[in-house]
Amino acid sequence: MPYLCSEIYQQYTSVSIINTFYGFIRIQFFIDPLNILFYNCLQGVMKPRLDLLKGNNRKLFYKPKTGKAAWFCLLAGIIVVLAVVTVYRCAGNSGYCSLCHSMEHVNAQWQLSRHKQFDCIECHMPASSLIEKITYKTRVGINDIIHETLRNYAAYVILSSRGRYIVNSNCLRCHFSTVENTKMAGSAQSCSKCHRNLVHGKNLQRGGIKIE
Amino acid sequence: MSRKAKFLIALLVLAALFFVFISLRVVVFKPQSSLKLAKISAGEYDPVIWGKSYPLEYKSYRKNLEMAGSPTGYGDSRKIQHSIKEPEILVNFKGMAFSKDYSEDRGHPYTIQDLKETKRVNPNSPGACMTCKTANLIDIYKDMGWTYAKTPITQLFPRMKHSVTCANCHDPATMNLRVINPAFIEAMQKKGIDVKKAPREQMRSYVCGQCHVEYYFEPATSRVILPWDKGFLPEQMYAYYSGKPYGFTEDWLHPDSKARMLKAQHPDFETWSNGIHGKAGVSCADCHMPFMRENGQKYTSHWVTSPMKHIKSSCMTCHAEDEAWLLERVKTAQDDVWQLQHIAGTVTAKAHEAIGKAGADPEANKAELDKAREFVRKAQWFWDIVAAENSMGFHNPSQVLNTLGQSIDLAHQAISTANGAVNKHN
Repeated sequence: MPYLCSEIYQQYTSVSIINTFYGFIRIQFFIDPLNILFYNCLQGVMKPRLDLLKGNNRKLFYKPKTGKAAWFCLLAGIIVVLAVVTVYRCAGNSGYCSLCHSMEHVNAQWQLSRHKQFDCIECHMPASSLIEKITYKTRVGINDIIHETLRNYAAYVILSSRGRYIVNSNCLRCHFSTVENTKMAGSAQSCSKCHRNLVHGKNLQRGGIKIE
Repeated sequence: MSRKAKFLIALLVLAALFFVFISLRVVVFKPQSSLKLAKISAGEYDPVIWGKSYPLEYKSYRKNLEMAGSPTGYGDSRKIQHSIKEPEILVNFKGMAFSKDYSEDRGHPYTIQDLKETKRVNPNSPGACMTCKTANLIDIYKDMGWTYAKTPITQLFPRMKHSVTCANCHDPATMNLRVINPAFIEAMQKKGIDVKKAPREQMRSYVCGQCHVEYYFEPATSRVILPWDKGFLPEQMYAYYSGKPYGFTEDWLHPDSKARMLKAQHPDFETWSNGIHGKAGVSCADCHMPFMRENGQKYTSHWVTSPMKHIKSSCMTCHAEDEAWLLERVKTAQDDVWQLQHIAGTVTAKAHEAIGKAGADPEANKAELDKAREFVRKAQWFWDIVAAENSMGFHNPSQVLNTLGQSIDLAHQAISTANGAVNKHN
């Protein structure tokens, strides 16, 4: 599906506002935005919002735990958050992506490409808010696991139109200034339509089936 | 322990087992990425035996038995007479076998059966006719050399046990691609190409090209020769034939026009090689035998058919457009070619009639008539080289349309020259 370059750019700018916001927080706390959740969680356990717990509202609001229970919650919270952060981090690694059999060929081609310094997710994940990233990653991850388990994936995986849109937006994240003043930016173009062999190579180079 | 706790623990254990199962299946016990070479003897041509070791490839090969139309409406694997849709064939091939029987071709497993059934072949037909019909050609050529070409085909039938099978394209010792048609090997040698040393990417086209090419039989020996000395273009092949190679002057004499006619045969390889896909290095197998998967195991589809039946695997590995769009592009190219092909064939048929009529006049100008005959011979060649090709022009749309355009012009020149031959006299 073709998209207007300018449209993508607009979306990209709105994204960048969110990213700037995260950047601000990151500077404030010297930690990643995701760790804010972790930080808030700690706060929630240790400093319950006592101001909301007055009078009849008491039942409606979260009652702070005390003693053993509080420490258990804290520990469980730390473990859960650490697990989420670890999984999120590991799942962003290209080595993790290529664990799947269906990704072997594209991984091999990517390693020979001029974009090998970028991880898979830098092109294939939406460059938007963290929440969108996590939901997208979860949805796509579940889809991948289902098909990897059932082994019913295609010989050569083709991008969905949403996937193509994401890749295109990510091309422009770095290369927008290159095309900004050209006719390509004004018309409905998709970078990968012409530059389709850039990262994952030509069909010819993908090779056949090894015989041992 | 309470029931609740037990239930919770059981649930946790189940979830853990499920996780382990999925991780093992996805990460540890992956589908194979390579094939194991099986021991198949050099003289084994039975696809069933090969299929035991290469089941996925064999399963897809069996799909060649399917008889069906193509999604664009051009090309078919059912035996349908071409003359139903193109009655001009009956005029243009008058006096030769193609006017008796010229049906759509079926898949590779049917080659021998169809060779025996077709009305174009009779008991005295030369053995050369079976060159591309059987894997047993390997042994027959090894034993007899080119003498098999002159041997009556009925004498060779008992030796033809298998149709076009695995061995036609694969060396069982390595499973590497190979070509077995001696005519193709000789023709490539003339072009300075050693097919034994060709890289895999080129072999993926040569294995198809060894048969899907234009050829003729040397008059004295019936040896199969590919007319490529001057090039792959229709005009270059025509120029080659005009030089009367090895004393070859014509395939038959047309009874109406008395022109010495040429019959073109399926120049798929030549047409493709000058086309956009050919020039871009896209091989025959890339589109006609794309990679497929079953249970995660990658294999090459051996169902050699219209790529329009699996656009996703054939086209969309390169083209980013969707299936409907791609099919529409192919259909448009084929519609355009079909329209002109039908016109070219019809005008050529009219040219035969016009020359026949002029020739019946005893006082017609003989030199002008001969000129008209040369025109119709060339017009029909330019029509036939497209009509006999299997892609309805898609292998090279621009070249094919150019060829048909020339055919139409030449046929009209034939008609006006024939009419002039009579009018001058009057």
